Amino acid sequence: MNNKILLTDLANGTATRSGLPKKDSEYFVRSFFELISQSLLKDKIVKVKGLGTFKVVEVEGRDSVNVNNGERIHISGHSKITFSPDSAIRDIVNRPFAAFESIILNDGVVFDPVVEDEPLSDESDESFAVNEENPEGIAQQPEAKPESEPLPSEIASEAEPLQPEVATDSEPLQPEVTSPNDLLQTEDATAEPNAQEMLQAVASPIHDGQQHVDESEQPSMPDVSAAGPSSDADAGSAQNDSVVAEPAEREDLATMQAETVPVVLSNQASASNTTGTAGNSVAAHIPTAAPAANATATEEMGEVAPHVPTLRPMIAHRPRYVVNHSPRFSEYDMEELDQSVESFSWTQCLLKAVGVLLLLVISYIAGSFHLFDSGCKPEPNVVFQDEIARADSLLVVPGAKEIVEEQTPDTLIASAAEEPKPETAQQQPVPSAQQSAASSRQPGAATQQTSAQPQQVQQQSAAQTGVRQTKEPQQPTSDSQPKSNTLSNVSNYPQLQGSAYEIVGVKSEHVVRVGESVNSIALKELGSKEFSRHIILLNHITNPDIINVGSRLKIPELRHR
Amino acid sequence: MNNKEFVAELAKQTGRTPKETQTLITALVGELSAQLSDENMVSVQGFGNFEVRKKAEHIMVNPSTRQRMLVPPRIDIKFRPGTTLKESLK
Repeated sequence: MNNKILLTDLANGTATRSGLPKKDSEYFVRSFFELISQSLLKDKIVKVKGLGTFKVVEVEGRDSVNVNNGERIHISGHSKITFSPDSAIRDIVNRPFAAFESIILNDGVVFDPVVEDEPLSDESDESFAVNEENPEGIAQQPEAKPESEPLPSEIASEAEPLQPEVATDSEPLQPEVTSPNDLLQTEDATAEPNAQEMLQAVASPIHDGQQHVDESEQPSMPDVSAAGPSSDADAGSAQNDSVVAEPAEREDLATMQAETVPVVLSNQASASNTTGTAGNSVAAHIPTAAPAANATATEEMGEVAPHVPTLRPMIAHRPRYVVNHSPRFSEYDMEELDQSVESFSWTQCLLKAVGVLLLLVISYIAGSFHLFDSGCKPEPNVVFQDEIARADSLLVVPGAKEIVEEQTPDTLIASAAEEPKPETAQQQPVPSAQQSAASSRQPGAATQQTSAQPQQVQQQSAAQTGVRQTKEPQQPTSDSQPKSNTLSNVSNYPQLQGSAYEIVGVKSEHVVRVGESVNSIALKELGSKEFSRHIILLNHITNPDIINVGSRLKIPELRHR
Repeated sequence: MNNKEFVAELAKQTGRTPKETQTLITALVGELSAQLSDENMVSVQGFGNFEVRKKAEHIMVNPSTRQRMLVPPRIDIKFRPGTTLKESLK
């Protein structure tokens, strides 16, 4: 690659191909090129089959302008050598792109550079969607509650045998997991800690690579709370009937992990760079997969894939929020992951991957039980692909959600729900802040429990409309900006597309005389016949071949762009 | 000078039969194209350089019909004559 091949190398290659001695080969190659240059000088053209045609082309002398200072310069006539390769050799060299063909573009196809405001518009879309969706989610919540009662026991029975396995993988976690359990057990029913355990176990491998026990516990709490309180009134209403709804909530979180998998699956089909980002989201939620890179990630995906379709109906309960949140937090997780990747060993990774996979399977089983038991009808999945697309685009805007927070500082519950989110944003740099975040979550949840559900719905929708209001003014400005830019150029004079010069005014007028053409006028007035196009454009000449004697042509004032 | 004349002239200079010369030319051109496919630059002293250039995908407008074409990326062979050859032209 990109080596300089000399004549001797060429001769050696030819020797091996033809079976000629190297010395003879070199002599032959030398005389080959010698003959080409000699006959080129003599005949002005040499055709070599398989290689191409060498030609001597006479270039006429011409006047031109120095592009830097506008001075007129004369380029004298000379001859130059051109080479047009034979189609055979051209095809061989162009083989990597041989499959492509020129495409005729239809009118209206624009290739504007991708602007930054694209994620913004998506964000506003999303906030709108959330606004729409959430009341439904809340409406469904009580419906699901009574039926989900038998579920905790299932989760408990499934999760418990698994727990030690995960714990052995992440040794420092074991004592930590039990302690919050005790706390939570006083608060909620027995099943809840199991669900919590599950999640912590899932979340912990991200952190225990760093071997900081407390850190590993704390970030996982905001993680949980991220989807809990941050899903606003949803979580709040869930915690109203804490015993019943809490496991359901957790379970949704579990499905969230599974849900990131279809995101990846669909992405892999589309584009490679989006696969990267989606891969991140999977990696964060199936943390063990991340260090193990593509190999385990794809492996896992392949295994989880069969379960995914069946999981979807369940996800449809409250899909928007879960989907929308997962990629954002995964980004933060990824940063931390990157730091810890070095200290990960492959065997550890594989063990954890297996552990997480088991968790996913269990959540799937539990979920399907939940579905059958509840008997509630899942929403149609038409919106699902949209969500995936939206979630993808949201990967780009981690800061956008923080704007949402700023809009809703007044209400008590909203602020309580908010708290964990800025914290999770700072998760990596400030582990100590996470402690407060984790602790503040519990009071936050408590306030949510006391407050009435309809109130939350109202506040939530108020918060979302607030978001929309702020988003809407932003969008038009971002849209109008490029337009006004181009307007200022086009406003006064027509501009020539693809020209290095733009028309900024009318320099003078030229009276056409006999024998003049647009080209000659351009050459005379502007220094180069290249500028005839500008004259044609400025004077709206429809047929440049015919200009009337005595007519006045405006000569444009040109400026280099 | 067309290919036939060129082969005949080269055969005369190197003292081989035209048929032999043609196979040798094929071998030489094959080697050259192989090197160029590897994106190597082939430099022949006193003659010039053969090199490949990658051309990006671009939109081309047919000036007469105003029809726009999306031209795919491609790899082109470029020949740049050496100074000796250019000097001898003058």
